[in-house]
Amino acid sequence: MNERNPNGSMIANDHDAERAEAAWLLDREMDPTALAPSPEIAHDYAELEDLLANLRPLRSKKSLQVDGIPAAPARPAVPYPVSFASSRQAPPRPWWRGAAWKWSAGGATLVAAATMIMLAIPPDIRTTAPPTTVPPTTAPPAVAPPATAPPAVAPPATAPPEKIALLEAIDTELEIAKGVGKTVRGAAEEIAVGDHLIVTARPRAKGELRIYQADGPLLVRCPGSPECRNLAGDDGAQVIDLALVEPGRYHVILVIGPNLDALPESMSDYLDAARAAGARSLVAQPIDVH
Amino acid sequence: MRSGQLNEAFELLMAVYGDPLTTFAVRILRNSEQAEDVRQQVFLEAMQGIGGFRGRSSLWGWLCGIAYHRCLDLLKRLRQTAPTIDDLETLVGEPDAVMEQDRVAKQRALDRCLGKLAHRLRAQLLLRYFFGLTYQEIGEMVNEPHGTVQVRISRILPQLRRCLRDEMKG
Repeated sequence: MNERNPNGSMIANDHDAERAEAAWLLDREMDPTALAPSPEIAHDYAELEDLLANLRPLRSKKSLQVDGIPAAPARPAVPYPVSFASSRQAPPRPWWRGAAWKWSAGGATLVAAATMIMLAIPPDIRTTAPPTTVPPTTAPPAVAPPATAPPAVAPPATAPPEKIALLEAIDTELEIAKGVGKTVRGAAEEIAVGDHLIVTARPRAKGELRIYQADGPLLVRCPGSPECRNLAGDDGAQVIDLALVEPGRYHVILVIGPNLDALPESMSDYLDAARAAGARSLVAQPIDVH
Repeated sequence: MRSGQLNEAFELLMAVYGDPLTTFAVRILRNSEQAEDVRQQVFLEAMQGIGGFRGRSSLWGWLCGIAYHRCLDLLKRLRQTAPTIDDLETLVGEPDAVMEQDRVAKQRALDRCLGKLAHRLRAQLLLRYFFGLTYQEIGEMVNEPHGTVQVRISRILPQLRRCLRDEMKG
């Protein structure tokens, strides 16, 4: 199977094309804005990934009764999505992992379940979780939750920020840290709803810092947003302190250049326009918030 | 913690994650009864082993890992080959009323293409795209470097794309 395509046939041109596509898919893991070999290919993968994320469930299922575990109630009907994700966007989440489903039907119960289960684990085990500093994640794709999702209240961070990433260049420095909030997380290194994302940029020229969610909406712009402030005693340093209220993938971008006014809002257009304006972009690895 | 509370917690987890786990298992095993058995086994094993859960992965990743290994264990034990793809058509549900015909056809085509993949490869592909796990999580689960898994999946996707295209043409 690894040597042939699922149809059992493979011609040389197809083989080259498949290699090019595979290379793009790998690049895309590191850089969500990596350009596909063609728009048609990008569309095909967006569709394929959406189909994979939304496999059809079983026709019917028996009522389950595991000894000691009560039978699960039937889940409410959730219509399948019919729209396809953007080709530049990481693969979509299936409906049952989507924020809307979690918030509207199972969010509170899931949190409750996770809390109860974590409480069942002895404290000495819970505190032996992995180290707190984490590498930039290449974790799974996420789709920005719909605007109708109810907002969550993020409690203030209660511990010193933990550094997630540091990008250094000749003319700038970009530091990303996690402000640890009181929240339930599967692993200590996870970034979860309730945490804060603290991004510090020290551009030595004119710079603009932005945070996007899942290649979608612009969340914060610095300068310009209320979450943005200048760092006292650190000339030119800008800090964004963003309370994470929704799960998903977040992108941090720092653009340095003289002509940063009136750049477009959408992430891909922004990067294209910055490049066209002769500005330099630092794009941190995507940050996945659970 | 009272056992009643733990039961309640697992009931909630089953309500949300039970169906996705069965959907995954039926794609690997191609047998609905075995898939249901795996689902029950996942939650039973999770309940019995919760004390040993170290929190090194997410709770969801842990459940997925149990499902993955139980499916492959079962296949190994049964020395089962995948049944014909038509069998899957009888297992999976009727399309939702709001779904487009084109999408229904593509989902069926995708199931046929998935059926042509080796069990282990199919399972890893679904861990990534259906369960949404990271390559790091999958690598730890299958005891391989995450880069190896990433390259493997990135190579199979183009083949899957072509298969889907050919199936739709045919």
